[in-house]
Amino acid sequence: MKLVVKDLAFSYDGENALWSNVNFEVKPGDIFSIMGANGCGKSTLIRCLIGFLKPFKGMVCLQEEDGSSYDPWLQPQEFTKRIGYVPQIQNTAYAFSVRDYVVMGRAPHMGLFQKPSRHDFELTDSILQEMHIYDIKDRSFNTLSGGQQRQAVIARAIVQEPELVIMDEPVNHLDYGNQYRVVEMIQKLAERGIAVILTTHAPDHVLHFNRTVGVMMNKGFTVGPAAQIVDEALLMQLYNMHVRIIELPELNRKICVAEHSRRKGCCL
Amino acid sequence: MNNNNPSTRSFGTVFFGLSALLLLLSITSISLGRFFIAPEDVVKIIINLFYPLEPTWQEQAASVIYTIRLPRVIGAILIGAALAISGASYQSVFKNPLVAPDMLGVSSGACVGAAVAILLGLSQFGVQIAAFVGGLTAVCIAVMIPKIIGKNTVVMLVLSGIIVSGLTGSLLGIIKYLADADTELPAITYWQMGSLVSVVWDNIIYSGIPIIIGILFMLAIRWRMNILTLSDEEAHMLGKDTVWLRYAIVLCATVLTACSVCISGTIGWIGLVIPHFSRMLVGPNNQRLLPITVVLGAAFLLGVDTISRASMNAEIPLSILTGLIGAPFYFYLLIRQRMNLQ
Repeated sequence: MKLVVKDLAFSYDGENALWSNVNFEVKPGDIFSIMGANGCGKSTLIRCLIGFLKPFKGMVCLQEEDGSSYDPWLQPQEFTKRIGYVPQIQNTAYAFSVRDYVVMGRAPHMGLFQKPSRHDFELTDSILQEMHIYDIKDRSFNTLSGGQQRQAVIARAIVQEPELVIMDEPVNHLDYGNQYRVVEMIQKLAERGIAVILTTHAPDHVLHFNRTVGVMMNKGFTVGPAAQIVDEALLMQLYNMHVRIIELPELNRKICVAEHSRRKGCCL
Repeated sequence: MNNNNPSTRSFGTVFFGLSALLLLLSITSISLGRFFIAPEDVVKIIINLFYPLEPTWQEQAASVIYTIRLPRVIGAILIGAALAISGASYQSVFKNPLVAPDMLGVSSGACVGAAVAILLGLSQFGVQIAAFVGGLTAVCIAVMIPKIIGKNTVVMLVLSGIIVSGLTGSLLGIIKYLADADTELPAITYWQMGSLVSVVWDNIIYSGIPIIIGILFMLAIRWRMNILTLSDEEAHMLGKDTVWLRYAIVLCATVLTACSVCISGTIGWIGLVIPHFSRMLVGPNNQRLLPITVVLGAAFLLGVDTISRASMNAEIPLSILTGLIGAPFYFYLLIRQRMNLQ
């Protein structure tokens, strides 16, 4: 499996591109982080990747080893079936139980008139157990804490048995511990051979993954290994603040610490 | 499904309990009226339709049941079920528990159609056809507006429903203004308030078949409706032809409502209150919810219709009763739900 994004550009009005020249490839086990300032169009890129928004130019396509390839607009069912999607946290309109919510991940494998089978529920239960949320399976999704909700949404993506998981700001709204647990969950997904694409505002997580990163800036998109691309100059440009990147020998990795905002004497 | 899941067990209990209630109400409703028929005779007469028995009842009783009460009871069951399941389905498609099946203007469109037919002096059958056409036209316009604007979102559909309802409201006002105050105006008003008084076997056959097909379709795709309640992006990723499915459900709910409205006139509140009450009983999962709304909607309208015709000498229009019962009950549901959330 390989997700190929070539020369992608998006525009709301058909003239002025929000961003353009997005090129990258994602293979099994890859973790591809997308960084960018607020409002630069990360979520729009995610929506283009899942085939929800039509790009202005370029293409997204999922290529299999056997030579078949799926376009999100020409073969939407084959395309979406292989991709698990983890949206930003939000309550559902109705208070589904966790189990009913997670089993919806099986929908792409089922016929229009089918209901989840015993096998679907067994798979759901085993993944809930694996993620240690089996004991809250009968609780309403909307009453869960942010961390538990995030776990349930990720569980739903795993139940789908996808080849690629696309996450829109998966650590958003989470406390410090839960953020780190989600980071570990993403690494586990990659170890299972699932490719992960995520957007993030945490440069330290990107350094922690130490994999590939795409940076959206000035309507363009730069791709490269995190260790090379993410440096103090880039973060200064991206977030308009002084950030220190230090090699921490105890952890054997680079860490990222905020120093101060660029504007001196400004307290908002 | 797993048997140690408590919600599954309570679903079975609730479903069979409500079904038994519906059966009991049907027999009671048939036996009540100006001409009282003993419940055991009711049961015997109905069995006699399929399996001839030794007659121990008055011939007149059988004829009252066969020509008047049985079609009316079946009509109430079909219409109650149709309005309730349409409401529940609309609430899933529009991701909003406050939506009623006439949100896209099907009821008000049907009213305009019926009022025009009454104004033109058409027959009962003509009025029903006109109501059906009026209802479908209104929804078609409501569905067209987002396409014209080029923004095909749920919110846009809700807004265009408001546009259509505003338009039909004014049209109805003009028609009522033009109508003859002694004959036509009461007919239009009475029709607007809903009644099952004119149900005959022909209605059951012409409207009942599409209603049954519509209900079966909704029940068949009920699990997939869960997916439509998620965000548009999630529905796109988990669903198959989500946009198509959404329109299919809207169309199906429209046909169900239009078929009901053209027999009985507009009956309010059922599509809003029954799905809420059902959700309180078995939760929001449509796989369990929709069968419950069907039975509960049928039982509710049957009960209300029985009160409407048997409690006083004159018939009380149905919307008056559904409003009197439904509105305070809805208020109570909202209070309870609020307390549950806290």
